[in-house]
Amino acid sequence: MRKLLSVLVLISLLIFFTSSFKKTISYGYNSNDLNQAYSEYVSSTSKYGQDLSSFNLAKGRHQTFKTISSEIEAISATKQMLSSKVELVKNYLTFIRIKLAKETGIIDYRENLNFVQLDNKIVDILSLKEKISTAQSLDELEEVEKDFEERFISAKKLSFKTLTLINIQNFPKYIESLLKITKELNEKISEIKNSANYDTQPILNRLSEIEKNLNNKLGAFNLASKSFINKIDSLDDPEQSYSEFEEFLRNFKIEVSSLLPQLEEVINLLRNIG
Amino acid sequence: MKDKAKIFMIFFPLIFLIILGIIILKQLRNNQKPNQLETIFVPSLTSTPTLTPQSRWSTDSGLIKIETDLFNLKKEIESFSFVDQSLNPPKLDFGLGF
Repeated sequence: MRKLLSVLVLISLLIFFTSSFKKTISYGYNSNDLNQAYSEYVSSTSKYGQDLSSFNLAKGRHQTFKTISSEIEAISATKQMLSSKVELVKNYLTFIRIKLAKETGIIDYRENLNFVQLDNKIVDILSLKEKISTAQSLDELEEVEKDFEERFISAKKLSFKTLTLINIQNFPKYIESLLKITKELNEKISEIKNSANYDTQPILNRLSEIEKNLNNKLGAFNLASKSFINKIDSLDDPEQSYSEFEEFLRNFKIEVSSLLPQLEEVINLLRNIG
Repeated sequence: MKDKAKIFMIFFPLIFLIILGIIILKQLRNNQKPNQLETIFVPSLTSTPTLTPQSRWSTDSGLIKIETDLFNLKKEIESFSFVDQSLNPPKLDFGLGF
């Protein structure tokens, strides 16, 4: 009985440590956290949409009547709309922060720096709430809005940088897998050559060419990624740089895909050898 | 005694009818079977496989594995989408305009 109990305790401890280890790998976030963050972001988007409509109505009334009551109503609607906007940006930044942690695992310095910057930006955006609630007039709220706009520009830059980091993370894995396949094929060619002394040199040359191409692509990808991150950082219009990056990624995928039939051909040649 | 006779009068025809029903059903089934199983044998020209010399590497498990890995990777790359539009920052208007 005692033995059984100790085995059970050991198994439960093992399960506990395995699960906590998995959590550490994904930087403490799992898919549920990501889904929840996304649904919060989506619901705050619709809340902001509603508050924006109410604000536009109150603004229209105030511009028409210019009375004290219309001003009070406009101030209240503006405060509500601005608070919703703060909430929306905060939820968006939280969502991509979790996405970054989940997709990249925050392994290198750039990712870690970006993660911390997102954290700071969330605090920075949230501090606007205090300013909104203490504002007494429409002029003061106008100032808060200007301040918000400036903070949002830097938040946007940070967001596009984060998206670039997320995208950079994913695709090289496929190139690395393709390189692994070329390595396995190389070993197979040696095996075939040793077994019956076939002339494998032409196939080997073809494979080397593909391997060289893949390595070049990987290098080009890393270089381009770095350059896009710097561009997003330095330019005023990060959206434009990011859409250029998207275009680069689409073309890159086509280029890598074009190497796959070449590898298939090498396999076919090997299967028909002898 | 009368009761026993009554029970016998009711149940005997009933049992008889059940047995009769089973026999008829069996007969019907037996009649159908030959039709169901009727198969037409059509003489076909079976081609004798020509023996082409096959490379011993065509069935090599190592090569088949590499080919499968490449096939799976190809499918993954084809379905991979770089840009998730839901991740783009929200489009917001600034300026209260009072």
